[in-house]
Amino acid sequence: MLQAITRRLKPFKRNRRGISTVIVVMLSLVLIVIIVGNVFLWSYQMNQIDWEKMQEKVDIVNAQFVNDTWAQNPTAYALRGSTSWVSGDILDLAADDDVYMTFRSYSSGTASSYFVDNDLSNVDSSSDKGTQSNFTAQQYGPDSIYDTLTEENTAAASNVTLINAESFEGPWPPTGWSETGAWNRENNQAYAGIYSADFDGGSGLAGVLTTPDLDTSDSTAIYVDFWYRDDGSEPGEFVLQYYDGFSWDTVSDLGATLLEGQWLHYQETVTDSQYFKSDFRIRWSTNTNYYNDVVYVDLVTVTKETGQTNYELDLEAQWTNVDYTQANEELSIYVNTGSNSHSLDATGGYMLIGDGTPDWGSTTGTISFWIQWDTVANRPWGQHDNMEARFSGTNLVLDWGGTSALTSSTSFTAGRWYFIAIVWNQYTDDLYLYVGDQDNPPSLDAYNNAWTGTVSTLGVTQNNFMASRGGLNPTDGHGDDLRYWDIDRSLAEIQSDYNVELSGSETNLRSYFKLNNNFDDAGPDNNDGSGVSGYSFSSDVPFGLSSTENLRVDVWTGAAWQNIFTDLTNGWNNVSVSSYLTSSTFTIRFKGSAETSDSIQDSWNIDVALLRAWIDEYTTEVEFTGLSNVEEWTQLEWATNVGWTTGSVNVALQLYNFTLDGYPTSGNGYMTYTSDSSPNVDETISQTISTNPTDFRNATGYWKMKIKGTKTGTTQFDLNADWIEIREARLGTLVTFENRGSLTSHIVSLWVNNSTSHERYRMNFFIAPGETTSYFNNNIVLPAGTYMLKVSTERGNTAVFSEG
Amino acid sequence: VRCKKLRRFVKRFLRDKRAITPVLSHLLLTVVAVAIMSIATSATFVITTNLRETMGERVIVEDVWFNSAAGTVDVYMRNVGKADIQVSGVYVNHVGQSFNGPFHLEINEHGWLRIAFSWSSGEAYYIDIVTTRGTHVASYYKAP
Repeated sequence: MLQAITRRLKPFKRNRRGISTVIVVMLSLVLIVIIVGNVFLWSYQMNQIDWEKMQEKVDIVNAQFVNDTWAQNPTAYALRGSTSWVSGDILDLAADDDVYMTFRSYSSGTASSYFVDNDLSNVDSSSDKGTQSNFTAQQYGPDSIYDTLTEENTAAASNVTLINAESFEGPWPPTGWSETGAWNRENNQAYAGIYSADFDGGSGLAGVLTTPDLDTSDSTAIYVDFWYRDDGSEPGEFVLQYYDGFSWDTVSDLGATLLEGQWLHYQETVTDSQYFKSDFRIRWSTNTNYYNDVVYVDLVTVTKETGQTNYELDLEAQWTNVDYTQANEELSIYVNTGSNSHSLDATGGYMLIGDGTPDWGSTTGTISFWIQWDTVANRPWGQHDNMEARFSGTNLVLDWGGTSALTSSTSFTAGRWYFIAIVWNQYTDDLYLYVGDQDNPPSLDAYNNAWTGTVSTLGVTQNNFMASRGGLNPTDGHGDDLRYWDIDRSLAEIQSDYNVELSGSETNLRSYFKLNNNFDDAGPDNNDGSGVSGYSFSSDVPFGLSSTENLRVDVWTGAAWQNIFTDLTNGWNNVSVSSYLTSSTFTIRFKGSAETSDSIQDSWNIDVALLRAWIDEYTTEVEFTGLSNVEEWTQLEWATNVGWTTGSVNVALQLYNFTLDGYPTSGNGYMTYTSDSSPNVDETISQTISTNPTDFRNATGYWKMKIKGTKTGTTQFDLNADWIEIREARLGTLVTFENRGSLTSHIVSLWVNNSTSHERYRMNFFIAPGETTSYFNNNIVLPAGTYMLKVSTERGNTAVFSEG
Repeated sequence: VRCKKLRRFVKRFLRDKRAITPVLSHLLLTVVAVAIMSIATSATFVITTNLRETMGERVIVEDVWFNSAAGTVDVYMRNVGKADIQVSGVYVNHVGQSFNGPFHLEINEHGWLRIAFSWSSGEAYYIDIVTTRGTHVASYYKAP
């Protein structure tokens, strides 16, 4: 065979006719093959199509008009907003039979609050009178952080001379004066006149020269003025002392001067109120040890500033950006008028905290109290020998996790209210002592930043106030407002509430004893205490005594002040200011009610000052749900029959659109109306939805709808729901097909023909071999009389169904 | 070995004593042959394309409506083949009729072919629709 082919090719090889012949022959062969191949393939392909068409056989088995309807009533409801159910059952909604399900509306008015903006206004061109401690406190809360308004003495001061240039020229001692020791009148030295009071020193010689009792109880200041001469005394040998009604306080060491042998002028203005007593006295005290320790005093003048006391309060507060367009506008002021009525007066007795076992030795903590000693001595608080406060001289010593952990820098005196706060933190090794008094807020008095003591593991001997551990060294005096916090409070926190009573529920406040005629613990530990032996409750309190004077509030009308509160009371004080709030700026003033001859300086604690604006409105909102089906709805009708116990309610009905995943606000699924102007008129409202009605159910056939009624005004009303129904319908043509062939058929069109019309409906579904399936189309309307249905497949086959 | 053959061929070509004329004649013949075959190839493409389209033409009549209101015979046609079609002529009972031409259907397109023909109720008509490629879609239809 191979040899035969070789033989055939040899002549061809030897042929001299050239390559062109070869090309033509080869290409011709290729073209012939392509043409023949293509014809064969196309023929096969089209034959395949034709064969499939022949194999296909689809029949229309049946065609019928469909008109199915379903109806449901709600099966459950949910209250929206603060709507409340009144009566009735969900089953009462099944029929329009005047058996109601009733829901009550709630106040839904929108309110805006505007805290006071500033205290800088001066609309009446009159300067403020009085002081504010913390205006910012009015702009928040109520949070027990107060702005304390305090009256100011506006009366002109007058001076009264108590000792008028006493130069000891008359009888010795001058009338009312007293002296002990070597004090005498001598003329060897005098600053004015011939004589002066002198003390000739000597070993162990001591004496005092004392003025008469000076009534400074009505003073606002005392001016002390005298000349003195130190001819040899040493420091501490010649001192000036004041009497505060309880004890003598050294106020100046005159013997310490280096300017000896000459007359020196002493002048002092005393403003410390502890010396404003009816028996205030001044004395010069000497205690010498050498014969030439000679001192002189001359030309003594003591004047008090008194008299004209008239305490006034006139402080403006202003809002600058208020919505003044609302129907209701109200000024609200929260006030703490003070309710600290009593303190504990210990006279040999003390207080037992709880049953004595409460342990205040936390790892961090703050213990604070007010105290006024009758005598500066003994121990004001303690629960253990290493957790107590005691005195060393007039300084307070804290044995805190160890002996003498901290000593006060303040030298305490009797007859004066002090605020004391002890703060510790074992983690940071900090121990603080803060001290304030009746006239000054607390400040840092002593601090140990390397405190290594531990109080959290000490335990309790006995927890006592006005004494220490088991009643040790009870201190006489008044105690008030004992607090224990389990955190180390900052100075700012302490200052924010040291002079106001708390509620007891403040965060981290564990125990709180107001001591208002009882030993109740207002804190969460609830360790109510008790008194031991000599004690009573006194009305002498360091702060927060309810003011005797009324605090008024006036509003600025643009031309004058108009009173709106005659007396702010404890808690919220509300008053309508709609008639005054006519612009975005609103100004009030706090005014004392006694503005003439007011000898009592009052103060008031303002927590919040705000304006509230709102609209009165009531709303009922109820959501109903029900279960329908998952049929091919062509139409949905939803209807309600409800009434309202008041007329002209704005009603919105919404049917949930599950496709949009929300309640429509327009179009299908949304209806609004205003109810009849008369109350209790049942009205039926309905809507028919023909476009995508199945959007209003979920995959399992649930639907939900909402009824919302709103009316502006102050009248609360009810919704009486009588009947709620959802009705679905399926209208259209159901055509049943059967695939009798062996191939899957794709139905692409359906014809509905009669003598007057030939209507083509586009279809797009497949029927598997042997399958019988129904096709519903709500757009297909079978004509009356004789008609013919014709279905066409994608391959071009048709099937016909005739009726009539 | 190939290298040797190539050198031998070049050597023989260079020593060929024959003139340039035979070479040119070979070249010209080759060019002519290529041109002829190109034309033949193009012609083949055209011919096969037409052949394919003719073979792939399938049109069906979905519906025939003897429209009394319009006085026409409306034929709803759908192109189910593999090529676009254009109706070139319509014959009713072998008599050419006017229609809403040009009537063109792309693949899978469908539409009404309206034949202006005065029909009579109850009569059967042989309607033959011919495409430009010569495909006939013909059948008898009876007017209602």
